[in-house]
Amino acid sequence: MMRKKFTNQNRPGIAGLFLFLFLFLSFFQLNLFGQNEQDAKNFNQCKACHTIGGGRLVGPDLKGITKKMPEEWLIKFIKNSQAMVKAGDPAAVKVFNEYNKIPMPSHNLTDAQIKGILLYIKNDGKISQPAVNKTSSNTLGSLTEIKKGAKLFNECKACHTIGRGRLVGPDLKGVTKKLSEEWLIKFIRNSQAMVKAGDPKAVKIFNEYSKIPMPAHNLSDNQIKSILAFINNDGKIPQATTVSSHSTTKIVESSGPVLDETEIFIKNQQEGLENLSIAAIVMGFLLIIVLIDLIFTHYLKAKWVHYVILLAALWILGEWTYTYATRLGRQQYYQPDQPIWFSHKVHAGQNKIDCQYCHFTADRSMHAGIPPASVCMNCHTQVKEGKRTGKKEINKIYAAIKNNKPIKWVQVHNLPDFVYFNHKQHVKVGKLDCKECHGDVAQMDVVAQVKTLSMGWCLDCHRTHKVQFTNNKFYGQYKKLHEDLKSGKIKDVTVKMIGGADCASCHY
Amino acid sequence: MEKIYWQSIENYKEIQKEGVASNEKTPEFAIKGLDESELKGKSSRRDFLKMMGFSVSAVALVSSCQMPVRKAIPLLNRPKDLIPGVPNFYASTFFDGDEFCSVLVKTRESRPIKIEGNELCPLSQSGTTARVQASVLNLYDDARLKNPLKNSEKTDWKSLDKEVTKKLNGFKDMGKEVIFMTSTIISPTTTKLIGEFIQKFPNVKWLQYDSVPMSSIREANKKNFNKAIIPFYNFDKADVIVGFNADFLGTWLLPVTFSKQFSKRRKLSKSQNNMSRFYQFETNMSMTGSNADYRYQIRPSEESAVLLKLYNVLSEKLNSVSYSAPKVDIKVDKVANDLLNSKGKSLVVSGTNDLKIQLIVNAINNLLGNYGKTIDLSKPINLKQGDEKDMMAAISSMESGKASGIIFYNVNPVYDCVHADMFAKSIKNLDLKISFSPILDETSKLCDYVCPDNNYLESWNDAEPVAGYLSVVQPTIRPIFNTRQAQDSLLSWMGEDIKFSDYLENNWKSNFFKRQKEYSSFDKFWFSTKQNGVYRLSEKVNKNFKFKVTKLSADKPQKSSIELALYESVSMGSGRYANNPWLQELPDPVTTATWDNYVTISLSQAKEMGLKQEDVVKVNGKVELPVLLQPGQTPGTIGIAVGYGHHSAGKVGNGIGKNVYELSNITSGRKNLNGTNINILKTDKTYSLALTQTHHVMEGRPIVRETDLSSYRKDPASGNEMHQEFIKNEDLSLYPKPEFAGFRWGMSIDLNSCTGCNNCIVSCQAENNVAVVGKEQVKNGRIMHWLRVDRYYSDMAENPAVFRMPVMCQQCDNAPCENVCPVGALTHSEEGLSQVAYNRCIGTRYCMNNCPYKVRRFNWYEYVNNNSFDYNLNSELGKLVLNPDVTVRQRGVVEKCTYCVQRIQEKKLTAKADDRELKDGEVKTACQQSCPTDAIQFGNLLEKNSKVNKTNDTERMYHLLESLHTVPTTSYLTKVRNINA
Repeated sequence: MMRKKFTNQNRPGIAGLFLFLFLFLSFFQLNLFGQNEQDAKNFNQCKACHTIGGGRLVGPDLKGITKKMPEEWLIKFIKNSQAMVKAGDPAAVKVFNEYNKIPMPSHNLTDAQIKGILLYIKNDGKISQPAVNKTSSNTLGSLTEIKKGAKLFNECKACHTIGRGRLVGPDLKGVTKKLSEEWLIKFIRNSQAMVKAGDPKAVKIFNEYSKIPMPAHNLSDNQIKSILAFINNDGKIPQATTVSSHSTTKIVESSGPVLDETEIFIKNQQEGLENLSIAAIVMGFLLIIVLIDLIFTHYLKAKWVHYVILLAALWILGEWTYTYATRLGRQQYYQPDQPIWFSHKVHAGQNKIDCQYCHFTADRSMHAGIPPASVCMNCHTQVKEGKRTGKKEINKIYAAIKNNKPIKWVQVHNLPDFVYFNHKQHVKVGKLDCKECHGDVAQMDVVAQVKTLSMGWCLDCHRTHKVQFTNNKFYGQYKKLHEDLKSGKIKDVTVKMIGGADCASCHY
Repeated sequence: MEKIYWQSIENYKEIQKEGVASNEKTPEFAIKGLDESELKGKSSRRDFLKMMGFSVSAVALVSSCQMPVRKAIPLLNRPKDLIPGVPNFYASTFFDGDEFCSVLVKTRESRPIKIEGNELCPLSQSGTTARVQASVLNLYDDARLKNPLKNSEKTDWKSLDKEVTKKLNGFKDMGKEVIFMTSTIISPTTTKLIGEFIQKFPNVKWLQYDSVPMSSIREANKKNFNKAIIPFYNFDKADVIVGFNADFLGTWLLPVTFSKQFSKRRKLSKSQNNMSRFYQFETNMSMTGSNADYRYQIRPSEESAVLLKLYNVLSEKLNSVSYSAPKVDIKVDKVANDLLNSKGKSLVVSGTNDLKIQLIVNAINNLLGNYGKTIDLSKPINLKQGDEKDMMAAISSMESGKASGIIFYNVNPVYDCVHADMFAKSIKNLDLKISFSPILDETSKLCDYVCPDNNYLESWNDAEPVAGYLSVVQPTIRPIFNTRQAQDSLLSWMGEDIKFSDYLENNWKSNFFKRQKEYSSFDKFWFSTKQNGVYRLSEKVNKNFKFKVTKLSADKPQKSSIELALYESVSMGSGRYANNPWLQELPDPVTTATWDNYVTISLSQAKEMGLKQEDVVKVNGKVELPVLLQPGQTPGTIGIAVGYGHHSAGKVGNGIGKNVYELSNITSGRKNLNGTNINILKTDKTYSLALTQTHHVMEGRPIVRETDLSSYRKDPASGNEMHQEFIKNEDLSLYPKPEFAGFRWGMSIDLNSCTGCNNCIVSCQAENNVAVVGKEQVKNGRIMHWLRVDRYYSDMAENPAVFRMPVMCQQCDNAPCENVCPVGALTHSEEGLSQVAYNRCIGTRYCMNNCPYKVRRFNWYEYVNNNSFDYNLNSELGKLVLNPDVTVRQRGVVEKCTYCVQRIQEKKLTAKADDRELKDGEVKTACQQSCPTDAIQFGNLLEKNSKVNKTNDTERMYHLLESLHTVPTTSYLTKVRNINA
């Protein structure tokens, strides 16, 4: 298959992209607080298209909207905006036209829920702080602290790295040494206030990073301290067993059409298979000719030629049969064309978007989940043009949303119907890196299946992979294994020992 | 004394002839109609070569095929609560006009796939019945109407509304009556809506109609207490229960609630060694009757006389008024003594719709002081509000031309009315006939307009089955077709611009919210009610009821003619689920027959008339049905199930059985299923029945172990001596003892609690994608149910004691099936499960031959997308009910119960993800979860304090066929009968 060559450069749109990435991430993180929690939760639905004071996305910025429009109108509009547009309500028609005629979907909310949301908007999207019940005093750097920080840092990941270069915001490695904790807490809470107040360091950073404001964060002091502890520790959790979920690839700096290692590998494998088939056909043909000559025509007198070709042909054909027979029902190196030319290399590789930002159900469901188009829109309300494909591919998302027709992606990693596979088990509990089964997707423009996904391949891992046996209270039930561990009878517990090689763990 | 158990009539006759059960085994799969060569097999060398050539070319063909391209289509906008792959549960309510049950609906990817009981409901608790379990399949019924119809042609809602409104208004102006005929309505909001509808159209006359009415209870209570109500019964507070033709565990009023109550008093443990005693007087052998400690056979015409005799015996002892009673032979002294010994702690009920009888029942309960104790008049049951008298009035007003329109909601009188022909004729002349029926049934076929109602899983509603006990119905899926909830139709005809969901919310706000004190804001109240599914109003109720004595009388028993007792079968009920293949294939708990109704007849009667099983008889010269010899049937009577014989129910239900509603008895204007005098004539024809009864003969081995209460009290191990014997030799085995690291799953089944309601079978079928195979295959012994409920009779064949035993895969530690598999498809898991890898199975069926429990099932055919098996798996719609976590098995593989391993895995994963231990009782198998009698316990046998271990910790525990040393992890507890004290 031929692919066009594209150039890759850093793009201005990326900054905006990450800003909204962050907003969406907070979708999952912010629901920690009491009181108006429900309203804030309800507002999560709106976040895909609206901000409160963060500028327009697909839909308008909602800050102050409660002052501009009467509550009654708003409720009616939120419930079913299209009905109002059709009915010709002037305000509704105006909004509709202003925002590219993208209809706001009707929401199945009760009046009370909408009122709650409006209250939340009125409150500028803040939830009143709960009284945090702290049981232990936190010293910077305790293990639990760092762990907590690591979790909270997920929010920051959209714009920051620790030691892996700048993204939207600066690389945070060593920031705790450069700046005082107090200042950092203040900045993280509300950087814009500091910039406005004219804090020299804050202004400097603001200017350096293209004047993209860092959004204010609703975090408690202790939470921020945890994050700082995590940063202080260079983004590592000091524990041997933890598998780092960070990608270890180097950031690809803009180099254009070069194929990555993985892509070259896939291509070679695919070509290898193709070549084998061609060779098999040629040899099959030769075989027939040789046989005819040997038995009937006797054109070539040197019989050894016949035998050499015969042997070679049988060998190639045998090889072909073996290769293709073992591939029966498997799809290794399967690389289908997708309806949208979506590049994981751009998204996961260059922009370092976390896999689970888009495939956000991987840690809570059996399916990793192809992201809904609304997730694409979190960024692509701003990023409207790609460097390599221009508007063409991104417009397909808009078209899908406009026509209310979902995008029909082609599934790359297929398992037979009689296999039960659960992502939650492997991602959340087993803490496996996505790469271990999917290959280095961040290096692929078009995703291909790299691993065989055969039963033997699954079992190989189940037989050897060590369970984080002491980390999870669930495994407390395996009393005998714990005893054996203690007495030194066994060194580790593999997945197999707790039933991972049972038929019924995947087939039922 | 050694008891002899027998399973079929043939078996019983053999026992009588030879004294012992014949050793000759009936072949398990006797297939008639195969010619000799097919039976012997005649494959030759040539065939072998042909087959080899074929397989080589097939492999070549397959290998050249590409894998199909599979699409992954995400949502455009993900709804907040929807995560693909993660189930959501919604609390809702099942009410079909007859039966109430508060349920939890499991949805996956927004489609309902399984019904569970709602634990929070104080009435149904976590129980369901087979019909409730199967109701989810009705949502995916191909027979459902996809659009509103006008004169059987597709129309749209707008024009339909316009025309109907015009006509309704026209009638209103002309003052012409419109009959609004509904099933019993237990929804307070719908009742309110109907009230407003009548206000708007005062010419509308509302009439509630039950296919199986119970109006006489209301009338009797009106006479005795001045209130036309059905009181609430507390079977759990009764030491002595006496039932007269009341199938309260199967079909009468609130079967789930009553099963829960009944079984509560039938459980024995170290702390509870007392049981209630249950007497049943009945005509047919009902499921409830088969659970009785003492069962008496009565003719329908004797019921009132027996009751009055009982009353007189009691009143004599209690110095009350006696009435002259006709003579009957049945002895009631024992019952009377027991009743007198437990005054205020006894309960007498009758399921016969006869005022005379209900008055005597009330008088007896009053004599015994049961009111206020076992019978609660202060919380009446709102079911069965219909009255046949109103129906007669409606027919006459239609015939006289007074009425010129009729609206049907959730009723099918052309099918189940006694005067169905007359009724059909009389509605023909009407100007306006509207039906809300979701399918084109017998009645809606005759209607001008059919406005298909939503399935209950697509609807908003509420319910108040018992006064003060509220329950909400909420949709779990958007309407699949262009259907509309009946209430929304009414609202739009009234010209109201409001959705019923809002109407419902408003009504709760203005009504129930004000009647409670728990919540201060309506939103919270409404939200939590929707979440819990139920709300109980704690209002003060009038508890003062004064009993007014009425004169009692009884009919004279008949001896000469044959009497008919119609009954509702446990699977079919009153006949609403005829098109539900799960229920059609559900074996009857007593006869184990599937796919038919039939005439049950006593053995002596059959002998007298020269009838054999499956002979066809003509009842009253009209209905031709096959005969089924039923032990326990009162001689001189026959029984037939109603609910069959639809001709317009859908592809599955059409033409199954015969409709016998017209044979109901009408006494003083009241429809009564019992007591019609009929004649039966033998015909030359025979008709084969598909029974699951004789497939699995266990060859006279000690399968069901039983004892009686007094022996149990003396020695808890009584009846289970064999187990003690066995334990001594338990460790002798050639096999290595299996070891388990963390879990060893086990199940315990209390035979004393199990009533045989068959709920577990349908629950298992829904959970595990078990295929329906149809009548022919059931006859061939190829039913696919992973779980069966065996039924054994003992003692006299005329009125035998009945034993039941749910049998599924016993998950043996020394599983005989596993070591005969030639391809290693059967292995034992680290958690003690006997597992099948379907994709490895090549279908030798060695395992089936080697399984002593006969619980393995072979897929003789492809049951999916096969026109020969035109049930739910042969339709795109029907397949939506499949559980995505469980493989749909293909042709040629063996399958069996897995202890719901998908549920085990799911709960284990949840615990792991939450970083906590798996709690005991967290994993529930499908059969266990909705069991209305809590007969099944499931859990980890390695955990000392798990419920299953605690239940097993009794001398009553034994394993099925333990002498084979298969070491099953499923255990049973002996049945204890409360007799001979």
